[in-house]
Amino acid sequence: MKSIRRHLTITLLAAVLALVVAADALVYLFAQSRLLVEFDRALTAKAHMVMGMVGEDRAGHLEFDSGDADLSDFGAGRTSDYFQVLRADGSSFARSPSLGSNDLQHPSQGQRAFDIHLLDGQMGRAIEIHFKAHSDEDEEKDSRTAAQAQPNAYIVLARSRRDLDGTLRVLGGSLLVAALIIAAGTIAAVTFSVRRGLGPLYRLGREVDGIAADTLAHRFDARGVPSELRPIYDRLNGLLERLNKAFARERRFTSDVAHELRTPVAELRALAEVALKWPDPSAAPQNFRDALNIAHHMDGMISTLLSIARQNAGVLAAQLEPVELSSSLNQAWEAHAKLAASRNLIVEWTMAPDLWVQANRSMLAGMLENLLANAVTYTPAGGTIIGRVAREGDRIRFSLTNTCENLSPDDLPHLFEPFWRKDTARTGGVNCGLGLSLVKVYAAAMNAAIDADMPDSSHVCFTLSFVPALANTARASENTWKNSQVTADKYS
Amino acid sequence: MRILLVEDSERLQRSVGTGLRKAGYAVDVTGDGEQGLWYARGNDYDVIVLDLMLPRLDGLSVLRKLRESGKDTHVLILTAKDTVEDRVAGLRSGADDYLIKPFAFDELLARVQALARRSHGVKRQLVEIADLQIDLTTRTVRRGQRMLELPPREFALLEYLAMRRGQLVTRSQIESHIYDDQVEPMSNVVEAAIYSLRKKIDRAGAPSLIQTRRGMGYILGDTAQ
Repeated sequence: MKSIRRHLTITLLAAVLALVVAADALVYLFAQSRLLVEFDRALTAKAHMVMGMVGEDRAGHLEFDSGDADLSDFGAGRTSDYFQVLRADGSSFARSPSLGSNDLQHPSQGQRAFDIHLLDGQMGRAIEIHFKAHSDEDEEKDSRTAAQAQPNAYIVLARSRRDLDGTLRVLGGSLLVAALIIAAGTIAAVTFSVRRGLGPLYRLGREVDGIAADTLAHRFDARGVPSELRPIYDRLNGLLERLNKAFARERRFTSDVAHELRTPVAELRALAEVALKWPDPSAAPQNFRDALNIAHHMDGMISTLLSIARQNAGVLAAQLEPVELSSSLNQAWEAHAKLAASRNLIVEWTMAPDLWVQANRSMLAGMLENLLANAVTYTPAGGTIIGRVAREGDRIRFSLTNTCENLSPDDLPHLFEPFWRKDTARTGGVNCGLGLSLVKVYAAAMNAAIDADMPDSSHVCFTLSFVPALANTARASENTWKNSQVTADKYS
Repeated sequence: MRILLVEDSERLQRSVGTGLRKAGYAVDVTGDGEQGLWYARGNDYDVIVLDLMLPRLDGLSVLRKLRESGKDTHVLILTAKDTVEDRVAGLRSGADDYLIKPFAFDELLARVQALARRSHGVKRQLVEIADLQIDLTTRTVRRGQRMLELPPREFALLEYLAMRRGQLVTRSQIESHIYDDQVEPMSNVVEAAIYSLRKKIDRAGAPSLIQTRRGMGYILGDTAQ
């Protein structure tokens, strides 16, 4: 499992270590370079001192005369410094006592400073300088001519690197120890700061862990948390809000289903128990009618709930075909015209003819049936129902506006929720608040849309928007529909 | 006994109303809250069976308004609302009992009977007058060793008189508690029922347990005392 703390610790530690190692290496190399320069400078100075002891006589012979110079650094038994003076042809004519009769190994090309294996097997540092041995004649010439003279000798002077390497080892060791201390400190500091920095995240995790289905009203307190975590707190609170609403909706739905089933079951049970307790043949027809109506009511409710469940699961299939909207509306209205007239409702229709929509014929009939029943049932006596069918842009719309009582714009979002009703009464068990939910489900299955709004405080308007059917397809469908009607009439 | 049933489901109105009438109660039925409140305020019911989800005025509002008007009629809430909160709200609003749909009709009947007894201050289930024994729970009547067969309406009349034993019960009280609105005001249905009841519970030649106070009403009691 990925761990932010481990990731941060490893990354920061690697970065710090890399920087420290690089810095150490730079310091070490710089110090080594400076020490070598100083070491070589000291060798050069000493070489020049020895070179001063080399002379050329008038016959051109080179001679070495140390005089009373202090050559104690080159003495036998002292193994720190060595020199060897050679003629230009490579023949040796002077050696330090420490060298005895041995030669100092040196490169043939005259490399100025170089590392060397000394006689005792230690590593050493040597310098080779080619020079013109001074002579008596030189003292008679001017200095410029003497400087331009060809070298006739060279000196190789070496010294053990033991002290130099010891100093470099101490320096390297110190840098390594410093790097290790920095690494350990980095681990401790990173661990501490990461743990401290992630503290609010751990607390948030524990708080989230305590959230259950019955504590979705809980909200995370973002006061005092780091600004980087505030968006997480805000989003978590938003998520809880949405979850709480979804759970509440689900609980309400389940409760509503149970409640809506209780009433017809109570009706059926009371009907049966009373009929069995006091058998009355004269009441049997009414009892059977009641039982049948209860069965129809429950059947309708269960079918609607199944449709809603199928639509939610995305498996509600609708075979679409071109359907002429106005004639479907006329057919649906026939079942409600009588009740509307008995309630003195004023009904106005404005229907553009020959508007074909892509729809499922039975679903469309169900939608229109529910919308019209809703309007006729809930429009107060003497109120108005206005229906309009028209093409608007790339859609064909059916709008149904009716007078309403006790409805507010706040109610609009709930109109299509299953079992929602403004009046808590169950209208005598006739309606159960699923009609508009079914309309919405069918609309979604047919790629149509249903909306509700309130043009003013006493009217509510439902608008169904359909995808128009293609003209030639609609004609073909019309002929098929008419033929099937003719066939049906023949056999009816 | 007179019952008011306030229930918006017409099918439940029919079946429960029929059952209560068959059990010997006079039953008035209405389907909306406002009318139910009007009935409850204007009549002297023994028990009101009240649904909660009613059109026009919900059941809890009916109950509160009824109590505010000083009526202490026993109320049984009959509803599909089954949560603890609903039951607590119902009982705190002044209900005497709470029954959840769907229900067993016998249970509803038993609760209504219990509330009816309480409304008359009777706690014992057995009322004894001389050797007449009236079991208000099993709704059976015995005179000595003889079991009497009484139709529900006659039992309801005897039960009403028994709950007010020794007290004068007027004709109009009997009409309002035993018979519903369908009884003609000037009919002799009460006298006929008393006559029929006497024939069944009295011994031949012995004084009737139901005494008539002419122009006033009837008293059920032991004449030997």
